[in-house]
Amino acid sequence: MSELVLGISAYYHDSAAAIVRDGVPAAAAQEERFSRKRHDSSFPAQAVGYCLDELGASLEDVSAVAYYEDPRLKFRRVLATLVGAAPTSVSSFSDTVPRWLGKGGKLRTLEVVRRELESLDRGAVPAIVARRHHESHAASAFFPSPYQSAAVLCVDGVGEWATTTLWHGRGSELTSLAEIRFPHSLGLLYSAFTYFCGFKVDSGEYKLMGLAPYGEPRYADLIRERLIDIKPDGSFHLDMRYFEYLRGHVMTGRAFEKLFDGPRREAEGPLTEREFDLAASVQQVTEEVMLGLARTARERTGESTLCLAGGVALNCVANGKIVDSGIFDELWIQPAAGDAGGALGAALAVAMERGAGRDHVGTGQDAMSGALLGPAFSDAQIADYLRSRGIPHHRLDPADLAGEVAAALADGKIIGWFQNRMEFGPRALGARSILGDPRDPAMQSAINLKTKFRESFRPFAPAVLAQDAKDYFDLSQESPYMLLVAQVAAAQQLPVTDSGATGIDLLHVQRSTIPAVTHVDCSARVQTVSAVGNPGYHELLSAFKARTGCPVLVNTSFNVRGEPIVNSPHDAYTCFMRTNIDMLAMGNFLLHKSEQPAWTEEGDWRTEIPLD
Amino acid sequence: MSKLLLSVAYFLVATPVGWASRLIHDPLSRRRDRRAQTYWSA
Ligand SMILES: [Fe+2]
Repeated sequence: MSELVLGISAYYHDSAAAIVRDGVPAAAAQEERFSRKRHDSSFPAQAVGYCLDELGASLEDVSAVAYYEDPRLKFRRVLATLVGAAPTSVSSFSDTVPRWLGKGGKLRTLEVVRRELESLDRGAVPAIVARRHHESHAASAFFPSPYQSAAVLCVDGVGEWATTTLWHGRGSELTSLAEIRFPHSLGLLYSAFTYFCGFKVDSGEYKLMGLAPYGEPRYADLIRERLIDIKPDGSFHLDMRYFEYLRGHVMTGRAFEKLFDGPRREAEGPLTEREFDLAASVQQVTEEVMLGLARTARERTGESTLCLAGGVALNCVANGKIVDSGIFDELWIQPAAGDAGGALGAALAVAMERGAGRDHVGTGQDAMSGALLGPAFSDAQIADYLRSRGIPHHRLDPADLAGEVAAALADGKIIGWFQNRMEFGPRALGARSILGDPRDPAMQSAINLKTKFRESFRPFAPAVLAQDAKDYFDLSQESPYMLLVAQVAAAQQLPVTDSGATGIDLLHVQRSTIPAVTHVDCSARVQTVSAVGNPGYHELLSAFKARTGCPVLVNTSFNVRGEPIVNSPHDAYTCFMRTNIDMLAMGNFLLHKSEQPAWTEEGDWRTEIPLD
Repeated sequence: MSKLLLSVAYFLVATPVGWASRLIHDPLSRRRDRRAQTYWSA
C-alpha cells in the first residue's frame, strides 16, 4: 500500500489541497477552480474532495495531513508587529486580535482544519501537523525538482517571520542555511509598489511586472537610497518609515507619496509615465536583489543548480535575469510558486520525513507531471455533458484533432483548448488554454477585447516546441512552466520604424514575426513544450508548425477577466459562449461557435465577476 | 471581546510593552546597523 500525505494551504489567499503518494505529487488543485471565486481563501473542501477522489482514497488511507504554515508562530509575529507599532496601530490591533483569539480563531487553525476535514465525512482524520511557511515553499521547490542536490531560494511577502530563506537540498534532505525576517521583505516591497500603482496586492504584481518595459528606471536610485539597503550578498533592509504595513491595512502612505511625486494611482485610473517608471524602477531593484541572493546561494552551497519558490519566484523577468547571469547552470522553479504551492510543499516535507524517496531523480524529468495535477474529464464524461444539454458537436478521431485545430488556428480562429488534467498553479499551460496564431498582429487585441474583455498592456505568452525554442528565443534552458522571460531571437525580430506611438500603444508596433507574444522590449514569457509533459499539446504545436512553419502558439488562460481558470466542461462551454472564442476542443470533441444555439443567461454576468 | 476592552488593553499593555521592547532589542530590527556586513541571519 502506498503512503499518502495530504497537504493544505488556506485562510490567506488562494487556498489549495494536494496529495503526495510515496513522495510524488499525485493530485493538487486550488479551491478557486471549484468554488469559482477567484483566489478563494476559504477552507479548500472541494479541492480536498477532488484529491481524495483522484486517488480513490478516504481520509483513513492518508497517513498525515500537513498544513503549510505554523499558526502559533505566525500569531507571535502578528502580535509583535502590532505591539512594535504601538501606539499607532490601535484600530488594526482591535480588528486583528479577535480574529486570532477565541473559539475558531486563527490561532486554532489546526483544530479548525480538523473539524472541516471531519465534516467532509470521508473517514477518520489522521494527525495534522504544521510545517513552517518557508519550509513548505522550499520543499515544493526542491523535492520535485530533477536535481539530486541543489541550492534552494524562497522569496515571498511573509509567512511566519521569514521572508527570504536559503537552503541546501541534498537527496531527501533540506538544510536551512540563512534567512531574512519580517518586516524586511522583497515581496512586500514589490507589493507596496503594486498597491501604489493602483493594482491589487497579491495578484496585481504580475501587471506591474508587465508594465515595467514601458518605463525608465528613473526612481531606482531613490529606492536604493531611501527604501532598501542592499548588501553585496543580496541581503537587504527596508526603511520602515516609508511603509504602512506594520501599522495596518494599507501598504504605503504619505511618506511614500512625498518620495514618488504625489498620491497613488486610483484602481482602474489612467496609467501615466510615473507608473511606467515606478514599475521599471522596482523591477530593476528586484532583479538586483535576486541576482545578489542567487550569487550567495551559489557561494554558500557550491551547487550548480538552483531551485526557486515563493511569490517572488513568479517574477519571470527576474528569473530570466538569473538564467542569463550564468550564476547557475540551470534553474528549476516550482510552477505553483505562490502560497497554493505551500499545500504541495508541506505534504512533500512530511512525506520525505516519513521516508519517501525521490525516484524521478536521474531520469532528467521533474516529478510535477507538467503541473497537470488537477481533474481530467474523460470523453465519456464530456459526451454525457454535451448530450444532456443538447450541445451541437463533432466527435473526432484522436488522430485528426490536432490537424483540424491547427488548420483553424492558421485560419486566424481563436480556440478554447480543454484537454488532459487541469494545471496546478497560476498559469494555464495547455490544458485549460485559449490559443491563437502569434503571427497575426491583430491577435493580441482580438483576444483581449473580445475574449478577455479587457485592454491589456501585456502581450500573451508564447508556447513553443522545446526543440525549436532556440530558433525563436534566446533561452539557454527549458521553461516548461512559463516562468522564464527571454528575448525574442534576433532572427525573428523586425526593424522598427518610429511610429510615433507612446505609452501602451507601443504594444501595437510590430517588432517580430510573432507580434502577439512580443513585449515592447522584445521579451517574451516562454513556455517550452515537450512531448513528455503534455503529448496532445505537443502534437498540436507540431501540426501547427507542419502547416505554417511556425512552432509557436499564443497561449492564455481559459477564463475571462476576473474569473478563475475553467475547470469542468460546463465552465469551459460557458466561457466559450460568453466570448468570441470560435471553436472549443474538449477531449476529442470539437464545437463550432457558428453551430451553437443562441446563448442566453439571466443577469449580466459581466457585472457579477469582480475586476481583477 | 469588546472593542473598548481591546483598546484599553492596547494602551495599558501593548503600548508600554512595545516601547520597552524597542529600547531593549528592537524585535522588528527597524534600526539599520550601518556597520553590518550582511542582513542575513542564520
Ligand atoms: Fe509564501
